[in-house]
Amino acid sequence: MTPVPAIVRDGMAEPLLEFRNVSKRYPDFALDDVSFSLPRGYIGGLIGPNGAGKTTIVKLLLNLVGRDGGWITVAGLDPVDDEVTVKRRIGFVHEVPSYYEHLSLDAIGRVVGRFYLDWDRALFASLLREFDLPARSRFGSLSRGMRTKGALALALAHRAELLVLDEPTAGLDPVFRRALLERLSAYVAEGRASVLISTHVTSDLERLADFITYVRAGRVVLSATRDELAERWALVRGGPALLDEETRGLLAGYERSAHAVTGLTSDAPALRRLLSGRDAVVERATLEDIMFYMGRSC
Amino acid sequence: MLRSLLFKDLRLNPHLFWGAIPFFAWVAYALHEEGAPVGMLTAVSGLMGAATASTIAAREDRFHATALLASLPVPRSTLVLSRYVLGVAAGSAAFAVAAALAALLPWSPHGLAAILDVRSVMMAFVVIGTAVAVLLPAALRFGLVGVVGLFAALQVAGVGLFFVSSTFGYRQPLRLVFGSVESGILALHARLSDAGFAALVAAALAVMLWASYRASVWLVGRRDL
Repeated sequence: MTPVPAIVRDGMAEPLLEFRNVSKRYPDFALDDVSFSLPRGYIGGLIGPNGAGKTTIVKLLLNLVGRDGGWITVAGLDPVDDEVTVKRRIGFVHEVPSYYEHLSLDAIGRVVGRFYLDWDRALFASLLREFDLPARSRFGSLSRGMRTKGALALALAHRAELLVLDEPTAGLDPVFRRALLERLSAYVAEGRASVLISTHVTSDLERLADFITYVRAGRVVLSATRDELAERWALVRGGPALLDEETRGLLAGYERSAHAVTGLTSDAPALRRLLSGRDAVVERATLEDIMFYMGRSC
Repeated sequence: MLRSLLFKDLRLNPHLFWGAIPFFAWVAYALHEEGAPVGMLTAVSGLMGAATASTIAAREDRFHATALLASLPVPRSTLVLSRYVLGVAAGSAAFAVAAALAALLPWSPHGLAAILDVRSVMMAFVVIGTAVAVLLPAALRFGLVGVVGLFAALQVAGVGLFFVSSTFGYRQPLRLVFGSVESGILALHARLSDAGFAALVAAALAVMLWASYRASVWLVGRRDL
């Protein structure tokens, strides 16, 4: 395989995770030309509607499915060529954590821990206590939320450099959900590790994620930092007169009713200038707004 | 890594090993009559080896744990190798346990030396190796469906053969198949006392297992999880 040339961006650390022009074809779905990166010490959010290709991206990263083109690197290593080294650095929490139903978390920890050089048994035990998990109960008897917590404890206990979480907050109660998000922030704060969260629950990522990659129908339609999103993307509301040729050119998507127009722009400063003095409101766009209105392209 | 994988399988499936002991005791008891076929031991051993490795692969499927397993820091080729090692080891252990029981039960007419002669041990390895080599590629690539599918295909082929034989009164194919298998096994067993031939069979068995292993690695490598 051709070596991947390193990319170093201005003022930004070398990426811990990088996807470049990655493609994967299934009979009824294709992931096409996917590119994004995540520097060390940051949290990245992979968003998109169900069936957009988020889980396929995660599976490609873990080499659970073979890629048809492009490059993937984790700390400069290819997950196919350096499979073992890369997987030692990744902690994975599956959307529906499935382990051996008849085993306790304690026993699963003993089995899984043998595969990791940095496995910390004491840390695993303390994480089970912190997450209020019964170490000796059968995994099959745990609720979905508890399974997710258990999978997270397993992923954290080998001190992964890259935590990959697929729909992690589904099935979690609000208290632990918030605690989880805070824990993830603390995990990356030291600058050693990064977290990639794949989810369609965008509210989790609003405050948490430093980078957002939006995938739709197998393609990356947007990949930017949270600050870039706040600067460039905005929601505009106004009457039907708002929608003329000029404003339409600045909208990435909009929704029109008999009395109002709501649209999304990726060039908020230009739109503000254009609408200066007109009866329109330009406000911050949430990730959900971006997902919703980009699905309704002009 | 291979040791960790074998530990995992033993830790996760202890009942597969201990639960088979009563079955071996029954086999040993069935051998107590004078003239009882000692070859039953080899058949049971082959069955145990292939069944243990295939059942574990199928259980991974049932628990949807294949993806978890593949996300562990282990190359897929090592995952596959662990299944082959487990299959041959389980078959060998099954043969040893069944042979010991058959020889040591008070009413047994067979001595341990009579059961564990070189020919019988070699024959056991041929059966174990063949069963593992045939069954594992299907089990690893297609999981439980693969194992069931393989047996179903064999059954359909057998029923089809029987149908052809009985409908057209043409019994030759049935006789040919089963007759060939039977005479082949008997001839093989008889000739295994020849050291040169035994070495040749051992080499052929090793090549077959290696080819099956390579095929499994290729099939599992192409499997999207």
